[in-house]
Amino acid sequence: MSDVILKNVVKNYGGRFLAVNDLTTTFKAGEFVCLLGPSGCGKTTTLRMIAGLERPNSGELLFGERVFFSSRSGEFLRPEKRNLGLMFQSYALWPHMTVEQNVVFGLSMRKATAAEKASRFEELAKLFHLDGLGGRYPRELSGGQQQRVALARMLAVNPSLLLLDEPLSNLDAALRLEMRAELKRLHNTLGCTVIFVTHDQLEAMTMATTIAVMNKGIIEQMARPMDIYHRPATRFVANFVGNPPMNMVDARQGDDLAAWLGNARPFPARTVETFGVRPEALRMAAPGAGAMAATIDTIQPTGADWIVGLAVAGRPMFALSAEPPPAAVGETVGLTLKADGVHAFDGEGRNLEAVA
Amino acid sequence: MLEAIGLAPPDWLSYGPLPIVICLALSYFPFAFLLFSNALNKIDTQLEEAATTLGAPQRVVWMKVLLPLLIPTTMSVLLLTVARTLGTFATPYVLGAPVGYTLLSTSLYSSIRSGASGVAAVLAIVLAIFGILMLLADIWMVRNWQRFVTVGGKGGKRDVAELGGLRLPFTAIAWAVFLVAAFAPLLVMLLSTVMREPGVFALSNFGLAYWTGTESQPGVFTSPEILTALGNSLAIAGSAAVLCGVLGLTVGYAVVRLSGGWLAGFLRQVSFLPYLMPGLAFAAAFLSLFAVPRGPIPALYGSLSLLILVMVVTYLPYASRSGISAMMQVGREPEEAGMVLGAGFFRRILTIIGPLQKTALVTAIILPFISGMKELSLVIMLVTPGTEMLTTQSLRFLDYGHTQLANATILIIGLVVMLLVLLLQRITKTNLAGGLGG
Repeated sequence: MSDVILKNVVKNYGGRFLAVNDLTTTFKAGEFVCLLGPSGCGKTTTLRMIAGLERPNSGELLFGERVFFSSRSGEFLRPEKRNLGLMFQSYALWPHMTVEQNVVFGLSMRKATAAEKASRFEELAKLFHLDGLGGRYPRELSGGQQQRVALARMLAVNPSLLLLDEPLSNLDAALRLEMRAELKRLHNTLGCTVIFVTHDQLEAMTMATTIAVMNKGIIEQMARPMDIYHRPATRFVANFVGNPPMNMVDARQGDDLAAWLGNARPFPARTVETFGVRPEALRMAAPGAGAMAATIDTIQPTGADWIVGLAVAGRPMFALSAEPPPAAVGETVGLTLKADGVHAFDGEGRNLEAVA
Repeated sequence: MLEAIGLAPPDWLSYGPLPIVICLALSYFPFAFLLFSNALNKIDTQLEEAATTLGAPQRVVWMKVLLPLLIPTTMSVLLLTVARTLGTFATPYVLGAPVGYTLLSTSLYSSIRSGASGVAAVLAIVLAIFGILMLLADIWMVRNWQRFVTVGGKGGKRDVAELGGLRLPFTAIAWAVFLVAAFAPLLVMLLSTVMREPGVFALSNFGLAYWTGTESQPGVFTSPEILTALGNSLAIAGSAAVLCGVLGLTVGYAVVRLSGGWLAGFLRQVSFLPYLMPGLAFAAAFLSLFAVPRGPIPALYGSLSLLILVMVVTYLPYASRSGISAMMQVGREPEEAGMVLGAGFFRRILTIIGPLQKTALVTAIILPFISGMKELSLVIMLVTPGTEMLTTQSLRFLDYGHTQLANATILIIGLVVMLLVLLLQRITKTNLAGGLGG
């Protein structure tokens, strides 16, 4: 088992658009790493560079002791030599091959015998519930089956590293939940390193053992999912992870609201530009209770929770509550704070507590 | 043509089957290229990348993934080219007739000219049957190769292919094809029109006599034939194009609006009928249909309207095809939004559909205009001395041995077509190679 190591990796397209900007990081062996970020943040480019489908402009890319790419020595290991598994968003099943031919393709490339291929397919078909589908063509399969064929094809050659490029985005919600569980179980049984690209924070939170939040070609923060959520290093991370998103309050006006948030817990004594409040940290109580008053603007019940739109000191905020709100739309409620749901960011968007 | 640059090629290279094959291959090469590049564009690059990451070297990716996926396109290109070649008239006529080498299309022409209308009808039917067979074969194939249709997902990134050591030879081949197919003939033609004696490269031999005319013989600018033909070409192709564009969009509109109804399906099918019918066979049918007055329709033979009519019918499939796709892209919603807000039919056409389809309409007019300017097979039998078009006029010049005037006429066609293409590109802000293939 080896770590994936990136050193000062730069990738730009046509010399203009900087996709990955001087990225240095290590993805530990055995982890389920999610590269999370908005579109255009460089996450897919990073994945494709690890796969060898894109060549970095400069930097070094190592897999344990093996050099995948080095701009210093000019080495570049071709993708077909890297022994990786890569799964695409479109699955990229070959439409002119049957399920079995698709799955054993990698084995053919490794000169496996017909018997080896057949028994490996048998094994994988059992694992991924593809029994009896070996002779079908991809277009004759459902979306979930296609997905499992793509997984089986990737795993057939026992790759040492799995790379997944938004493989769940084409599935409907129910199937997605099932596949998330499947992938997580797979990671537990195989124990190999997985790098997973997604823009869906729910996917990242639910599956990853490590999340790397990317923005504009750099990793803003890499940490355990719960740490990403509870201790976001930057304003960007805080805002990107969480649904409904964190309430951002401009602190520079120095009004009652800012003062109230600033007293939630002792923050480092530096200038705060923005306070961030998780919606579930805003707790509604009867009018008069709590230090702050708010007017209920909208109520959106989701079934399990209530998303309540509030006007607090003239500013819009969202609260997330497992209890029904104590008042109706247009009425006033009192607010209390759950102190660890409040974060303070400086002018550069850094979390004050993370900088200290 | 080679004579113009002072070479005297042997007969087997200048006339007969060999040059016909070479010329047709060169002239249908762009067509095949468009279809292939379109097909390649539609193949998701992730299909190749998936093979690469599983350990397949580039050569294997080609053999096992790319080529099998291109099989349907290859078959399609073969069939369509055969079908089109069968109906081609000009090349076999110019290169075959002098040595008595005839093809279906040329013998159809000569039997009509010599008044053997029975023979002509049989030949036309044979041609038409071939065309229809090809079309059916193509439809059958598309249906049976359905499993090649790629499943799901967005395409991957386009990458500039790294040809490595193959780069030079490939570049050379690309340039050679371009030079041989497009540039050289034009240059030779241009040369021949400015030289008094073919093949003599002396300064005194160059002159604009063929363009400005001499006392004994009118030149290009003064020749009444060419000027009439130019006027006719523009009038015929132009009005056919406008009709086609409007009709095509109307068919598109109807198909989209009535989507699901039998009428939509019917319209869609009917407009495809003349798709592969060789132009020559088509013209023969029109000739026999309209040579004499039928009911309220006067005899159209010898009139411009017959030419316009036959062109509209021939190009309508293409026009309605692009009309349908243009309308599909816009969909019903914008119009329905107008409907809900109380806009009547004409108001919706004027203020919603019209502005949205402006570019589509212009494209739908210019494309048949271009084809119309170049059309020969279709009109060769229908033109009469008063209704000559540029293409047919150049053939007449060839028949009478006025090679230079013929070449000049062809150059004029080329110029007009080029201007039209430029105009089209300006309007649609695309290049033709990308968008025509479908």
